[in-house]
Amino acid sequence: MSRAWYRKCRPATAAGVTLLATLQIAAYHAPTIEPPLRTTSAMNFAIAIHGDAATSDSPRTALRFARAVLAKGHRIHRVFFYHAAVNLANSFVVQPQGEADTAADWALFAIEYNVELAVCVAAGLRRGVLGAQDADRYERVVTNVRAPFQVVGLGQMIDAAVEADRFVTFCA
Amino acid sequence: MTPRRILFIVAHAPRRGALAAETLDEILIGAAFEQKISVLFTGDGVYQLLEHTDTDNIARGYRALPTYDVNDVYVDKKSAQQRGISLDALVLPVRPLSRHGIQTLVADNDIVIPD
Repeated sequence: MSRAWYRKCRPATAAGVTLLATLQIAAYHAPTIEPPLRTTSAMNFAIAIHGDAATSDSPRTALRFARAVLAKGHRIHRVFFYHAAVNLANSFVVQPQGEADTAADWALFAIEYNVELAVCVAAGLRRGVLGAQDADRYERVVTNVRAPFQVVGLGQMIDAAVEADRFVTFCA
Repeated sequence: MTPRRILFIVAHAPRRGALAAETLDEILIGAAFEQKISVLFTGDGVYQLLEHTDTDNIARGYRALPTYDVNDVYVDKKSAQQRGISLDALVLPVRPLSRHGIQTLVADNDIVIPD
């Protein structure tokens, strides 16, 4: 509504003058209703990675993307490691000195920014990435999942895709 | 929560280790989460719908998609033609799509998950 409506009013009585003055003050201070602005609001991202660091660049590319997402003020709901990418959670993998350790970089990134790193349990079992529960269940002597990676079901990937505003996959 | 429209794109050939089996798992989990699932086979991914004689038959798994309420299965028409694959040879009824049709399919979905 326009703020100028009261200027057209002509009060006939003293009470009318007071009432009009009150309305004028109220109208002046009332918030104007404006059309929603096209702002770039923060979004919630979920990321899936399919490639292993030893045979693919996708975990490294995804990490650069994740850093850019946070730098732009967005959030990361979950990072899901599927297919060969589960190898990033394997703490038995040792990188030669002087070579990039993408898995360690992901772990540091996740700890620093409190980002959830989820590893598919079924894909992990196939590749010898065993959480404590699975090592116990399948009678293996050790567990080798590196913190802060968490072993979860594949449903957590669909859940992340559905919950997030944007779901981005980095294929092998 | 209303189901989201999820499109899985299968672009890799079978016989690449666990890749095909894990992609099929993904699709079935998506269906189990009661989302609106579509699957597009493109490039060498079309080979996944051919009957093979191996024991770990992925095609047999894909044949079961309708029983999981996944009925929107598409094939990139050009990919199939280029590989000399007749749509009649595939293990389940599919809808052939032109490149333009694929653009529309991708635009119509909320989430796209490639393999």
